[in-house]
Amino acid sequence: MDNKILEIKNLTVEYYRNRKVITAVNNISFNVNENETLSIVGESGCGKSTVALSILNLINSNEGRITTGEIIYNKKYDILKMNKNQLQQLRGNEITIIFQDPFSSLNPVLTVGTQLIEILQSHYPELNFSDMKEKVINLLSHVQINDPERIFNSYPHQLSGGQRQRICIAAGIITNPRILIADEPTTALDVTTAKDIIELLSSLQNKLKLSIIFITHNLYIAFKHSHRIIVMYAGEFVEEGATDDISKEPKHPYTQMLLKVLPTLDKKGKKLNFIPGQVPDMLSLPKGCRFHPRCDKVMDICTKNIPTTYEYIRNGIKNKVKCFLYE
Amino acid sequence: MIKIYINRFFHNRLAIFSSICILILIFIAIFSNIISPYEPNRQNLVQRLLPPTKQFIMGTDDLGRDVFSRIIYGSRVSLTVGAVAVGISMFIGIILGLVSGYYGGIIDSIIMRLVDIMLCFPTFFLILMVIAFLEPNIYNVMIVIGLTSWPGITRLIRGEVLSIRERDYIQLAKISGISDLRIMFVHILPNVIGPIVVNTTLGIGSAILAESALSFLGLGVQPPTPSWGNILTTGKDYIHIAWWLSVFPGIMIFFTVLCFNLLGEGLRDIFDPRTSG
Repeated sequence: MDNKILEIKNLTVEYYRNRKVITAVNNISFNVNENETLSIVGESGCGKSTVALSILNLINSNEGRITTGEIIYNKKYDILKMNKNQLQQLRGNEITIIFQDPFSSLNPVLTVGTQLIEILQSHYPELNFSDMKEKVINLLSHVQINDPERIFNSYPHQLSGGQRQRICIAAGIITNPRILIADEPTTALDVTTAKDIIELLSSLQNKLKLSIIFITHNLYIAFKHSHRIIVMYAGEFVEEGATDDISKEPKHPYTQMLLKVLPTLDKKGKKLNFIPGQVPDMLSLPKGCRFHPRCDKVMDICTKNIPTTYEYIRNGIKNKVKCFLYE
Repeated sequence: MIKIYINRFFHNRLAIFSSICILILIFIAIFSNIISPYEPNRQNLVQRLLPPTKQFIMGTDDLGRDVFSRIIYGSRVSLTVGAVAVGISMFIGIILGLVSGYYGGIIDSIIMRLVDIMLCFPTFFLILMVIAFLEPNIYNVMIVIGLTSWPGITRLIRGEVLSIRERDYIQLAKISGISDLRIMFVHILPNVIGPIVVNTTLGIGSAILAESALSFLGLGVQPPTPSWGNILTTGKDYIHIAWWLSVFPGIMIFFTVLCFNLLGEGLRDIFDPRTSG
């Protein structure tokens, strides 16, 4: 594979809470290829969003920091070593992000048009207002907003959740970025709107040759719309593979259990499965494999040693799993 | 958003009443020379200390000057001091509050310690002391009141900014490459306009009060320029025989400060989202 657009190597992020250090993301490596959708799946608090913020080097320095790792963009530039101007250039121009809550992603005191034009202005200062307005209105109809002229002059509180998320997407693609990070973009929306939004993202991907990093806790969405999937648990990488492989034949016990608990039509009337136990407290992590207290295939070695990553190749695609079962 | 506030304003009797009174006061201050029946400094020793009559509706003072005219001219002093002093303290408070809340870290610590230090001083005595060293005139009074009343507003705005800068739209603005200055003044500031407006009105009230107190003590506006405070000073000497010299300026101070405070309260209700129901 030679079309990696983003390479993340050994990323570790720490947060400080009450003078204690929490390792929110521990030694994660993965690649993003051009024009692909990569899903990062995991439970709440497993570090998905932290990974997303790290890619843009957006970890608030009062709260935490990236201790080790490299994030290589376009095979050349290490995002973590960039200076302020280069970062400014990268964020927004090359990589953009959509947050999960469309209700807090738009400034309530500025009109939609003002906010979009402002982004354009900071990247293309040479454009004049009427050109920018035309571009923005064009873009709004691109993200399937009806009556873009009216929406242009509206305040966010006058719009529905779906409309707002479309505007966030518009803000995300307004500068023609190469990578779009979507941090749970459908969590705050109802199911039908969520479906529209995801379909919009896929269609934009084809049109604009975008790479999408899709962060979600919804396995269905990940299966349906991504090329590859990364599963995370308690700040660590667990399994990575092509969507087909993971949905049909997951290797790691955690992924297997996640699949088992999905409610499906043929389970109608039966009790829903669940994974026993709960996500470990990040301050007192279990020894050895972080998943072992909840794992149904736990072995002696799991409680003592930390598993390494095993690679296997299927259909020409390199998949990875982090479990002693495959030693 | 703005429409909602305007709508709420017109349903808030307190706010309407007090803002009408304040508008009348401003009108009086601007057109003092037309409204006042006499020159405020014209002395007429034959007519000194006359009680309120048809000719002098608030009586005359110890030098035979018309109290009504002096009070009308005094409103100029009070409103100017209120506006300028609060303008100065808002200017400092807004900038320091925004910077402190937005950047956080060491900058925040330094500014907040500065605020703590300022809040430790008994403000009024600090003002008294500074004025005692400077020449007591209206400009010094405005500047000193302004320079000593910013800590409260700084702290308030910092608190608001702290919560707003964590919102996603501020993160997104940062990601989109919008400059810090623009984020602070275009994206954050309009979001804290509610508390700013409320505190401006309340601040005007206390600035007027501070000016009156200073003038009363002889450290504010110097005679013969009329100010409500120094009319009261004269009144103090004649309180047994000429009640009108103390009562009318007192009522004016009371009434003006009350109006500003009521407007502040009313605006607080208007901007408070919890009262929307």
